[in-house]
Amino acid sequence: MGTTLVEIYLQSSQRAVRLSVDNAGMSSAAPAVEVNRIGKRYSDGPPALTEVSFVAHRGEVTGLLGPNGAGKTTLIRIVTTILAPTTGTFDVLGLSPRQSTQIRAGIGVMPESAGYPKRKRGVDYLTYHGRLFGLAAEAAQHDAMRLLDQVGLAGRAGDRIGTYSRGMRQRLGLARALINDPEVLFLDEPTLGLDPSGKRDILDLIRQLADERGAAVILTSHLLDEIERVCDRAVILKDGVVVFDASVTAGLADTFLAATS
Amino acid sequence: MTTVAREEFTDVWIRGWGLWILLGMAVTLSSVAIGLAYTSQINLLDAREGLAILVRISLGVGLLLAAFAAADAISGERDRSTLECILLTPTPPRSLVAGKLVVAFVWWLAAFVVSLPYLWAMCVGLGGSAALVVAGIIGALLAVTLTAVAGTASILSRSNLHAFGFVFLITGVLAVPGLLPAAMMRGSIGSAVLRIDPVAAAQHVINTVIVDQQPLADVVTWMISPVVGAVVAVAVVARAARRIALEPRS
Repeated sequence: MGTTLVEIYLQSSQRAVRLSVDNAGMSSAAPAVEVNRIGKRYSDGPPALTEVSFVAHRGEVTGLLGPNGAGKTTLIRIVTTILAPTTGTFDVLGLSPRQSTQIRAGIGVMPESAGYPKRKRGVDYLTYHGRLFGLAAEAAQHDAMRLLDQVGLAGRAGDRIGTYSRGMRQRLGLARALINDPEVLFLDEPTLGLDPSGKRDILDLIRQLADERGAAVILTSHLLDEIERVCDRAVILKDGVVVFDASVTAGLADTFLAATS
Repeated sequence: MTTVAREEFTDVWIRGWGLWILLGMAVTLSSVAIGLAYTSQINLLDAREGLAILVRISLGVGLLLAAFAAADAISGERDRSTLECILLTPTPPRSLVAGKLVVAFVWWLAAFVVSLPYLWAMCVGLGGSAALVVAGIIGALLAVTLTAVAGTASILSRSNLHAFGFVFLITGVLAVPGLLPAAMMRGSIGSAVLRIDPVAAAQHVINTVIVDQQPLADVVTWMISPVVGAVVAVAVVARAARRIALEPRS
């Protein structure tokens, strides 16, 4: 199914409505995401992040690696404007955190622990989110069906989400992250719960999003082989600190083990 | 706001249990109305007292439904882990809250509409159209107040349990002064409490207009606290809506 899924995506990647942030004054060479010395401390614990910096470019897939509790999800929540950093700053698509509404309009996010309304049908769920991004009702429904087709859920579009398996919900989450045709995509553990074939399909799609549409993709994963397979760059976090930030090369596993042990 | 409201409306009234709950309410009101009418007929209860009781019950049920729906608005999404995906859209938080609270208010409206035939039946012979008008005005004001208060609690609560607990508590606190024997609420302090508490003031208005048959103009000053309560509650929830967080501060 992997090839088919990618082909379908390429055929339908043209959108009538496309959110543009080019008027923010950035050149195409500027990083899509630039994180500068971000720190985060929750009131009841040690620092979750300490002076984290990295950049992500258009057309690249950046992998955030790290053991549990390393701060990957916190970092993504900060950069997607859901959490405020304690220190440091960032910009996404040339927009500062104060322009959170504009940032949200231009990014797609697949949170790791996202819940789904069990009584809603898959197509209704996606259509609703399309509407929240400002799409007209008809366009939202059209895009919802197109995306469900792309992630292999067209046959279950009319079923309640409560009847979906874990892997199907992951696919639905990915479709939701793409509903606004984002220029930057944040995927927190996107292959969690998928079978090997499903993983391959999703990773192929992620790679295509970066290669063909020039989207900047930032994904977190525990799985080194996933990072090695699709990422151009890897950022390894340990206890909220960046311990490695470089292009992905062979032997990343050794680097990861050395950096996090 | 309309996108959120439309979706919430569909969730409650088409996909959800809204109509079934209203059906249950209608059945309950039927039993209560029959009981009250029979009790009035055998002269154990004044017909106007019976009408006032039915007004209180119908308003109370509608208000509780609206308040608990509002309490679920944000903390419910938080509990179900669906809030993050909604917050990640460019929809302004105020629109999100407004859409949800409008649909919570509809709970009261729907409950009131369901109770109208029963109230009308109880009004026959009593010239009670004023009772329906008073019930509508007072109920709408209290519904706005409680919906906004519960919505604020939902925004600031870590879980539905906390939000529901707060709504239960605040509803009880507001209802108690109006339920106490009149003798306990005499004097300047008692009178002030009854006037300040919007629920107690509403009960006073209902008693005065329906049971004592006084014109609404005579108790218009008692409407101040329900009106002020509604305005303040809406202002507070509008302010709180700007601070919706994935995890509210402790």
